[in-house]
Amino acid sequence: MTDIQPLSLHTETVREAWIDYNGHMNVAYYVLTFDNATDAFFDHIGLDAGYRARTNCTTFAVEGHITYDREVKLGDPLRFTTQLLGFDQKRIHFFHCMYHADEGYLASTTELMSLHVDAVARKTTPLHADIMENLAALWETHKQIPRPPQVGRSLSLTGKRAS
Amino acid sequence: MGGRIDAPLRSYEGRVAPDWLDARGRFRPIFALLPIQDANAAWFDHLGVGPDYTRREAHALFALESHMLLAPEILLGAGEPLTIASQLLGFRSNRLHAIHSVYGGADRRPVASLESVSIHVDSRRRRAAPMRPGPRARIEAVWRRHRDLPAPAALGRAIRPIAGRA
Repeated sequence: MTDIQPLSLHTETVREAWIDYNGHMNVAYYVLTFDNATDAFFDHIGLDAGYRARTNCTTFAVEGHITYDREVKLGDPLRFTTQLLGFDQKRIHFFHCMYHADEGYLASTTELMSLHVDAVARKTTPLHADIMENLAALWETHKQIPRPPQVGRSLSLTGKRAS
Repeated sequence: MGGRIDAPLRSYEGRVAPDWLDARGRFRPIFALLPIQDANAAWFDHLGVGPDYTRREAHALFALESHMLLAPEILLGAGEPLTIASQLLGFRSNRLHAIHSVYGGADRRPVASLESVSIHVDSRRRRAAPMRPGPRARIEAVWRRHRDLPAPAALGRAIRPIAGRA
């Protein structure tokens, strides 16, 4: 129905310090590299260091869901994609995929909900108009991308994996 | 593999570190993942599925899926107490379901949680495998102490879509 693709804004290479006693990248560094992908996404929509300095506003993740689909090892190149799932004046809902950049397999996914917050009061506050415009423009294309099967999941012992 | 079983396990007791703060000197909740890492190491040791088990029996628990909740509205400064409680939520022959709940301040306000399902694997074949008898017995003993604990409020959450979008 569409050949519109998610954003592709971020890459990493698995470092030695990220490897744990199981010989693969530790879960903490999945979270870290996804956080770096979030920074790249927020820069892309204008929520960058200049915006934060100018407005005294920032973003905080309040909820996240990670699937660990495949192991990655020392030196593996990683490629991240990002899809906007929704937004309103105070919230941005989005989804990252982590792929092995050479072999192409999906290694992990993260769904995130971030709040736009007044950094002094730590209270939610509306996104500025320019950011809302950027999100609206991105939404025009991303709303056409199918919703990934990993989105909206809760945990259970018996549930089938999304992928 | 004996030892006292607390329900829940007090898996971490520390304080907000100076490098876990935002520009205004207040705790950034994403840094809760660092003490959660320490808590998880203590939790796995408590269950008998830590690095010693992997070295001895070539099996391990790998994370399969996690759900994280953070509460940035809770303001904590450097040096305030941070404690983590770890609770077993269920298990199967090759699965474990648990939650780490992080509390901050002297009044123990909930600041973060990480709920996870892990898979037990043969670490040579990199395939799912049943738990070995030692950890299996230990986890059954922990379950007898944890199964009647109240369900944490964070349990089983899914991210709710924003109305009118997606």
